[in-house]
Amino acid sequence: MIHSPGERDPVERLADEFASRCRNGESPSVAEYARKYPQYAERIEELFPAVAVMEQLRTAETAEREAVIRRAGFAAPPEHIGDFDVVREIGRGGMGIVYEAKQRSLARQVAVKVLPKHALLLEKDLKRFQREAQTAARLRHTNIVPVFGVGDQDGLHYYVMPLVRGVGLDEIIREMRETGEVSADEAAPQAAPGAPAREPPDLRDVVRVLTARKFATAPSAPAQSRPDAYEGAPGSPVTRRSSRSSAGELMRSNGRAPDQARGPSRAPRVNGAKGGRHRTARRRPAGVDRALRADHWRTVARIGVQAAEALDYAHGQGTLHRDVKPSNLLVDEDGVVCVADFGLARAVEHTGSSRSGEVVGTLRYMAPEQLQGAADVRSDVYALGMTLFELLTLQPALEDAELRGRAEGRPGRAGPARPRRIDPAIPRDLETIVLKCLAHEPAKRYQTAGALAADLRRFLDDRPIRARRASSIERAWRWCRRNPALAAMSALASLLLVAVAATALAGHLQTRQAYLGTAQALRQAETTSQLALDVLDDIYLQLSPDRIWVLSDVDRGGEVCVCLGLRSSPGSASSGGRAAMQVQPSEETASLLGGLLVFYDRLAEQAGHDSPVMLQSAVAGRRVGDIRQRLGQLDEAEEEYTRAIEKLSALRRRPSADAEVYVELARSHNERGNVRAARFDRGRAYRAHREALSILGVRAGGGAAARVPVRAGPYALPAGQPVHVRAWRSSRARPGRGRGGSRTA
Amino acid sequence: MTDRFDGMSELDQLRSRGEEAVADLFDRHRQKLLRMITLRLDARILGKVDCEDVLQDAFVEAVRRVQHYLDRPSVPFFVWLRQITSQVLIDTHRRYLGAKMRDVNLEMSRYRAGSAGASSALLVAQLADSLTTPSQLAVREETVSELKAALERLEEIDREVLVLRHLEELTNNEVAEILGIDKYAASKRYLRALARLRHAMPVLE
Repeated sequence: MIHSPGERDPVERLADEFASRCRNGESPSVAEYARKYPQYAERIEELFPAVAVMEQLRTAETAEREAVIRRAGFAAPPEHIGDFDVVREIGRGGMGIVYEAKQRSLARQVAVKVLPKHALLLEKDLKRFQREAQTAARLRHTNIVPVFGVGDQDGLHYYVMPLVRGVGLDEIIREMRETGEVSADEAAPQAAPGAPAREPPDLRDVVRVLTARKFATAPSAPAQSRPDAYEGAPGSPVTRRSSRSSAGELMRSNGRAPDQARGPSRAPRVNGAKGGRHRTARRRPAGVDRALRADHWRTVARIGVQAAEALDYAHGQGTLHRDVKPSNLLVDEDGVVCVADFGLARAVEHTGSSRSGEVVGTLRYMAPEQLQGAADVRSDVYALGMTLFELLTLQPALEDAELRGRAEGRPGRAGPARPRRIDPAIPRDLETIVLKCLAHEPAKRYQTAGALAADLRRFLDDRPIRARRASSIERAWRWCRRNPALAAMSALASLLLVAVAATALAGHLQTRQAYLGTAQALRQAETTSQLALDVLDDIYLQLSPDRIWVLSDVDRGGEVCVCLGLRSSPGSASSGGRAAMQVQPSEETASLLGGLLVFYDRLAEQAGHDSPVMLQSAVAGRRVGDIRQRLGQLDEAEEEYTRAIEKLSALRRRPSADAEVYVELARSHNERGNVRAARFDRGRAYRAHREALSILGVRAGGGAAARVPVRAGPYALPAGQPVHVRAWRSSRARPGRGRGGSRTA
Repeated sequence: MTDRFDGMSELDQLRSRGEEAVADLFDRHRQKLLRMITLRLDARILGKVDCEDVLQDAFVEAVRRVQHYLDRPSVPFFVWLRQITSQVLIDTHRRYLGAKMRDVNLEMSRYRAGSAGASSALLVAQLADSLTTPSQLAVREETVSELKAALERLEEIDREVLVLRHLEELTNNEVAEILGIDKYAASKRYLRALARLRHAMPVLE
C-alpha cells in the first residue's frame, strides 16, 4: 500500500469542483473562477475549458449508450413512479417512454410519459418544462390529450395523461406502408394487367387492429351503425365502445388471429410467406377500389380537420405545439384524433440521449423558420401539413440529406415532392391543401390552423377550396428568389418560362406534351445547368419572338420586373420552325436574345477540363454565336463558333466522345459556314459546310451516332454550292424543327 | 486508503464475514462498476448484452477469487474489483465478437474514444446558456467529435486519466489507487492530461 504524504494540487481540487458543478447541471463560468482565484488564473483559464468539454463528452457518451441500452430493452421499466404503478410499456419515442400505469390514489388507468434521464439536467429546463406542462394542462378540447400532472422521481421526470386507447399516426403509417407492400407482392403474380399495384389498406381497419394489438384486446368489429368520429363532426362527444368479438368473427373480418400484444414490438414475419398477417386477398373490381380509396382520402382529411381544430383552439389559448408529428397524433378506435405533447417539445429541447437519427426524425416535420428559432402559429400548420403529407403518400416528404442541411442552417432548394407524383390517385384539392401548408415562406401558408381546417372541410363537402395552385409563373419567380446567385439568369429563366407558357397558349406548339415536359424540366434545371441548357435550347428554338413583347423595368423596391404580353395576331414566322431568318430582329427579339446571351455566356465561361463541362461550355458558346448571328454581329459570331469548334475538337479526340460531341461539332461548323456565307465568303463557307457534313458522315457508319438522322436540306451538294445541314438528336425527333437558317449567298 | 466501514476496514470485513462482505462491498462500488461496464462494453454488443448481467458475472468472479485476493492483497479492494470486471469484459467481448476480436485492441477494457459512437452525430446537453436551436446544436456535436479525435491522439495514460475522472466519474483518490500512485502524483497527472488535451484541441478558445 502506498501512503501519500503530499496533498492534491489545489488547482486540481478546483477543477474537480468545477466538474462537479457541470455534472449537476450548472453552467459554471471559467472567468468567475479565474477572478476568484487570481493566483491560479492562468492555469484555470488554460485547463478549465478542457474540463467543461470533457463533461460534455461524459453526458453525450453516457446518454448515447443509455439510449442503446434502453432501446435494446435492457433497462427495466420502473415499478412505481410516484403515485403510479407501472403496468407495462406501451410506446417509446425520441422524447421518452410511455408506460401504462395505474394511479393508486384514484384507481384509474393513465399513461405516464417518462423523459430520458438527462433531459432536464438544467434548472432552467426543469422550470420551462413545468411551465409548459401547466399551460398544456389548461387546454380542454376533445382533440387534445389533457395533461393530468407532472412529477419527478429519482431524476426521472414524467408527466401523466389519460390512457388513450389508440395508436399514433406513425404506427398507422408504418403499418399501412408495410401492408401495402405485402399486398403488392401477393397481388403481382395473380393480378390482372389492369389491377392497381397497391391495394389500399383501410385506415380504419388499421387503427382498430393496431389498437387491439397494443392493448391486448380483440379488435372491435367494424359495426356499421356505430357512431364514428370519422363520420361525425369533430368536437362532438363520441361514445367509445370496446366490444370484444369472438375469434371467429375476427378471422372473418380481418383474416388474422388476434395477436398477443407485447409492447411496441411486433411479431416477426413468418419466413417465406411475406407476413403471416396479410390481409385476406380481396379481389375487388377496379371501380370499387376507387370508391374505397376515395373514402380513404376523406378519412385522412377528417383526421386533418380534427388535428387542425385542436391546434386552432390551442393557438387561441396562446400555446404553440411546436412538435406536431405523426407520433403525437393519436387516433383511437372510434376515429377520434388526439393531439398529444403540447408545448413540451420546447421544454425538452436538449435531450442528451437523442441520436442523430432521432434528431433528424423530429426535424423532419419542423418548419424552416422554427429550425432557426422563430416559431409561430404557421409553424404548427407546416408541421401538420408534413404529417398529412406522410399520411397521404406513406413516405417522408424530404430526403435525409435535405433535412441534415436544414438542421445545419443550409436549406437546400429541394422542396417536398408533389404528393400526386408519388400516388396519382390523391385528389388534387387535397394535394393543394397539403402543399399550401408546406410553403417555405410562412406568409404563403394558411395563416391559422382554423383556415386549414376550413379548407379541409370544403374538400370534404366537395366545395371548391380556397388554396390556389401556384402557377408556373409563380413557381418560376419563387425559384428565382431562392437562387439569388443566379438572379440575372433567373429573371431570364422565368421570362422564358412565361414565354413558353404564353406560346403554349397561343397554340404554337406541336404537342402540348412537349411543353409540359419542358416546363417540368426547367424546374428540375435548378440543379443541372446542362438540363437548363437543353431546355433553353428547346425554348430558343420554338420561340416566335414576334408574338411576345417584353418590357422590363426596375420597381421601387429595386426588383427587376418583367412584363410579358402576347400579340393577338401571329407574326411573320411560319409555323414549324423557321424557314427564313430575320435579318433585322425586332427590338423585343433582340432584348430576349440578349438576355439569353447573358445566360449562355456565363455557361460558356465555365472553365474546366471535365468533358461534360467542356461540352456544356462549348455548346453554350455556340449558342452565343447563334445569337450574335441573329443580331447581325457576324464577326463576333464567327469568333464564338471558332472557339466552340476548338473545344469540341479537343473533346472529339477523347475516348469519351459520344454522338453529341460530333453533332455539336457539325453544327458549329455548319453555323460558321452560314456566317461566312452571309459575308459572301463563299469559298470558306463551302468548306465549313463540307466539314460539317463529313463529321456526320464519318460517324454515320455505326454506333450511337447512327441514330442521328441527317438530312440535307433543299440544297443538294453539287460542287461549289453551299449546303444546308439539318441535324438533330434522335431523342427529340421532332420533324420540322430546323437549326440555323438557310443562307444563300 | 481503504474505506472505513462500520469501524472495520474493508479487508477486515472480508476476512471476518466472507461472502456476505463481498456482497456488501460489491454493492458499495456497484454504481462505479456499472458505469465502467456501460462505458467500456464494445458498442457492437451494447445492445445485445445486458450490463447488469456483466456486473453479475463480475460479482460471481469476485466471490470465487476473493480468498486468493485476501491471501495477498496487492491493491485496494475497489481496484481489485475493477480488475475482475475488466477481465469479465474481455471474456464477454471474446464470447460475442469471436473472430472479430482479432482486429480489435485486446485491451478491451480500455476506453476508446469514438468506439461508442456508431453515429458521429450526438446531441449534447447544453451546458452553456445560449444555443437552443438545432443548427447550433449541430455545432456542439462538432466539438464533441473534435474532442474524441483529440483524445485518440493523446498518450494512453493521459487518456485513461481523463476517462477515469470524467467518464467514470471517479475521484482523484480512486484514480490514484487504480494507477498505483499517490494522491499528489495523481492530481498532477490529471492536470497534465488536461493541459495536453487542451493543447490538442485548438477549437477551444
